[in-house]
Amino acid sequence: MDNPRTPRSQMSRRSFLWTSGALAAASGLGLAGCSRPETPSDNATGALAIPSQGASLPEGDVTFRWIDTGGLRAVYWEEFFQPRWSKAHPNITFNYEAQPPRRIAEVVPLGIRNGTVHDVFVMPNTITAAQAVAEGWVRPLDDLIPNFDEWKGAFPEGLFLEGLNMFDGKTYTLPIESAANYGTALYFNSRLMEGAGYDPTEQLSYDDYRDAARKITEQGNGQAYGVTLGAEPRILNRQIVNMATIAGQPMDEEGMDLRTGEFVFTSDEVMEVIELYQALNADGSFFPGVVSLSQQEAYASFPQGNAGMVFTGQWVVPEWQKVDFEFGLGPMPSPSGGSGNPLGQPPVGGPSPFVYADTPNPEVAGEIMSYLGSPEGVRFWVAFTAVGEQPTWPDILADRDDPQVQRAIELAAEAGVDQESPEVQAAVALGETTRVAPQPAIRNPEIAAVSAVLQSPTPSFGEIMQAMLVGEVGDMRSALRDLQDKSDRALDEAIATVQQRGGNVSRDDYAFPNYDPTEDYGPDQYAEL
Amino acid sequence: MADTQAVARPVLAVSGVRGTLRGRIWAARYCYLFMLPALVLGAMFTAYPIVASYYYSALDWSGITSDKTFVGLANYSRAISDPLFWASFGRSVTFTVIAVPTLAVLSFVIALTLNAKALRMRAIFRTLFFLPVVTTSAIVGVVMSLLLSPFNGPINAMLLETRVISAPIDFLGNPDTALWTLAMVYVWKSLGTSMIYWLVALQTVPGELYEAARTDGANTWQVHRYITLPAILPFGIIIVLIDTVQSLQVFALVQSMTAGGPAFATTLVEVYIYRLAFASETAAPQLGYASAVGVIFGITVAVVGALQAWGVRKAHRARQGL
Repeated sequence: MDNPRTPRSQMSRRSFLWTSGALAAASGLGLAGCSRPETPSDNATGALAIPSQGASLPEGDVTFRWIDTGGLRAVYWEEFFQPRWSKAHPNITFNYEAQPPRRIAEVVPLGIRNGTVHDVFVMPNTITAAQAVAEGWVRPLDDLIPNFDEWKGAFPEGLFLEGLNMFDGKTYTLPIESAANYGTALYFNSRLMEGAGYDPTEQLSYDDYRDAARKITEQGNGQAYGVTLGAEPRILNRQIVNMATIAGQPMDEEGMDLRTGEFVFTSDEVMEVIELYQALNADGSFFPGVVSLSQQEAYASFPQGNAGMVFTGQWVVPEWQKVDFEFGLGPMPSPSGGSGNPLGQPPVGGPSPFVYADTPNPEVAGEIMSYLGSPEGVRFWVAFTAVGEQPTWPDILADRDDPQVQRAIELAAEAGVDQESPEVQAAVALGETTRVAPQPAIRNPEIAAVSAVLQSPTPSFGEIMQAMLVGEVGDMRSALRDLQDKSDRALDEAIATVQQRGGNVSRDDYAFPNYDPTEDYGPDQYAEL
Repeated sequence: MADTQAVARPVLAVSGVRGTLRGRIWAARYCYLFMLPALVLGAMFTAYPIVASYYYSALDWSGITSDKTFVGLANYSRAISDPLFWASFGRSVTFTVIAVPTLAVLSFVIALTLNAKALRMRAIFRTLFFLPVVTTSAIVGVVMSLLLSPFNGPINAMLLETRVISAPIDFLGNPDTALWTLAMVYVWKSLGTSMIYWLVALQTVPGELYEAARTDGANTWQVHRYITLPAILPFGIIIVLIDTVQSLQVFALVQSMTAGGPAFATTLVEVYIYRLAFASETAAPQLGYASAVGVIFGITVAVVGALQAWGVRKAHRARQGL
């Protein structure tokens, strides 16, 4: 060892070699550690710190702004990430904002136009990621994330897809949001359901569902009704499409059967679901004023005992667990009870974060995205935000003996997200019944151009359903036939427009003859086409 | 006469400038200075958007992406053949036909009552009636939605209690009642402004006419029939026209109460434009087309406003004849 009185500037050759060798070894270990599950970066007292990812962060005071759709993500950012981040980087203020999707669709495009948008934002549902990339509003992660190739290599296979989160070979967002969830499960008020005498954890038939709703309404005596929903067009669309899928007619959100690429609004299964809704309406089983409710209002008042059943998704579980409210969940009804077809979902989904192209703090963005996409980061992210989605990293929380997994579940439970509770477990089990469905945009990324010019018919399917609920539709079959023809024409016109501009798209891109709704549709199936 | 003229133009008399245009403008320079902020804001937030929307209406543009295509009058021909536009136009007219007569008559009666010098606490009543005008439309909309809720809403509760109805009415969720309900809330909110206009009109009626009528032995009804009504008729035309123009442009109240629903029953033209340009969840935004619809509607309202200008001139002539 060198003489302690030797000033650093006069280090002997031996100590120099020793130090540099040690540094090299340490960095080698650190790099190697990046692609393996890390030991938890706890300090001795057990408080978790956010490990440095290696980006060269700014020294002065900066504010970094992040916006997404909130819900459980807000819990993650505010309860877990922000305190630890400000401890590790007191000069970088992490400013988190949560807004509902409708507001994001207003705020983000305006912010982009006048350059005040947040450093990282989720894509509004009125713009496709492809459009944003083409317009130059977002920047790729390739040059932002330190050791990008290793970071990306740590992800499970098949999550980075051109047209979904990669464009022109560059990666723009990370696949940690999963769409493999049962977003329209039948949630029921246990007390009211007992009175009606049904158990929806076993799949109900349409008749049982209608009967249960009627009984709850009768026993409710004006204070409780069988079914509530926010009868927004978008919600009605999703519910009816999913019920039809379960009944045997696979439909995506646009109303298309992806096996044939044809719209199937006029199918018998859809008609049966519509008749069920009409019957519920005629029975008076719907909560009064559903047509004026938003979905948030509907399931926010559910715990007050005003309705017996609602179709909603797993994001309500932590909220309802906070208030002292007994509830259960089960699958959507099928025509004759017993399991129907599984629901189809995209492989990766949900509101993914994108980095603004002109962000003043790209290094901070890189650092945070790198952490978020690291195995440790995903573990905590999933523990806090996934209560029933199939995480894109399968089994990321499966090993309950792993201390980091335990820590993640503990911290999440402290924040109100109890992964071990029976309701969450039930939601997870339902999520496991969903299957990955094919996506035209993955098969042919140019399909994004078609979506950009598509003029969907008005009234849309959801709007027709809403009109049906208020008795404004006379002949349902002809209204649906009309819709189907208009949808066909609109899609063909959009395809023709893109072809005129030189795009290589066709109607066949929407047909997947090798699609089996009971199986996941993966890269092998795309290759077969 | 000479006296009043000298009094009426003190500024010019003092500064000694004759009546040249430049001189008059210079003399009124402080007026212009004080008007400047309002003019700037008006130019930025009213004039510029109007001009810009004429430009946008000639484009096929979503408003967000950068691919603008010049399409000339294609958006206009599309709007004219758009059944949804005409349906919403019809609804706007229906709304106006329901709301304006109610508003005009109700505010006139209230103004007449508040004009009576014998009524004590007139100022308090005037304030009370005017308060809704200064509330925020969006907040009023939300609060009214809660009041009108068919599930334990106070208004339904009261109607059920007094046995006026036997089952709750879904005011905003029933396509048959939604537009009427909106119109009534609008009337309540706009009562104050119309009332003030009527009060102004009533106060231009010379008091001597009333006294003369009373000494001649006319009763209240005859007084109003033969003196008040003819005197304020010209004003009445203007007030009705102002109310019409305002009610054609209602937006915030409708958007916050029903967002155009249920099943498009309350999609008035402005709500339709908003949907096209921004808010639709099922279709991509279309700023170009929305601007064209906006221009067409703006021209319609301007025509109604021109009627108002013509009405003003007639009123002047009628007053001079009184």
